[in-house]
Amino acid sequence: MADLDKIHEIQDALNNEQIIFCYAGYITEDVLLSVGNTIKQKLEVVQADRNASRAIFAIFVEEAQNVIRYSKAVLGDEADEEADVLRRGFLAVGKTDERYFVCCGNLIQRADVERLEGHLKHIKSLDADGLKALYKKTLRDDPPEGSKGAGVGFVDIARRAKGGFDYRFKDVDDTHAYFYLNAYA
Amino acid sequence: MENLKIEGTENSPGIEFDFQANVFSLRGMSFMEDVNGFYDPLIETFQRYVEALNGAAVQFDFSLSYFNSSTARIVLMLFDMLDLAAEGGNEVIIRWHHDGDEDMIEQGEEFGEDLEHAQFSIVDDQADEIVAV
Repeated sequence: MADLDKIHEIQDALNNEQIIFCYAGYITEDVLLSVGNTIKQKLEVVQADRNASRAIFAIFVEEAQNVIRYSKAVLGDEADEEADVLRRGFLAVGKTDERYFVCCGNLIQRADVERLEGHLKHIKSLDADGLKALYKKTLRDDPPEGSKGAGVGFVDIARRAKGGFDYRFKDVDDTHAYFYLNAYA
Repeated sequence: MENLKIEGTENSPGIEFDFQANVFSLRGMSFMEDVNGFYDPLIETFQRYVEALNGAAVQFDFSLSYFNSSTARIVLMLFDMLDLAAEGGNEVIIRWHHDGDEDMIEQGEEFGEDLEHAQFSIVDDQADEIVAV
């Protein structure tokens, strides 16, 4: 049986981290749509700055679709392109004193950590003009191998995250790591 | 070419392609799960249409309220095709609509600045005024 004291601790810890919304589990387009709409409503209720609200929504969509497309915590046969698979991940929205943040996490292969870290490091090093150039170049190039979109999601997030972004990799076992990204709108 | 009309949903755009009148529009949201699966047939049809154009006056209105990064690639593809059509002697007008959203204005400006032949304007739907670019 789930230990309610433990669950309260988790809930309390989320509050302490200023997280106002959190989802952990299998993420589908339906989840993305309903949660995305809820976030929009919430931001309208508290009359958050409209440009910030749009950025939060946009970052949320990119992060959620990243989990839906690439999480390695998979239920179902990933190799079968026709099969329905569910992918597990973590999504959270929070607010510090000044800014909202949108955080995502999902399992990846440890073999992909180096490439991903290099990519994110490069994006983080760029200024607005550099990001714009990379954004356009990536859109015009063929999508990278293994990409299910335009391969430009992280650049888009970086451009909308006016308060910057941060990432972390945590080894889980010999072959897997957990990848976290947090973007400040 | 058969005219196309697709109703928009919460995450996919409303589309009107009138190949007879040479008037086109994309409206609303675009962040569906399979962006390429949605747009590929449209892009293919539009490509064939553009290649056959000869001295036509074409208008394309983009009135998107949000689109994800996979859709951005499609939008840029459409811009490139339209610019080629303009280079080929057609009169091409692209209008980028927004409702004041800064990111949307910026994206329009960025896509628009690569156009060399097509006419481009950014339209503030709130103010109903056209800002020349």
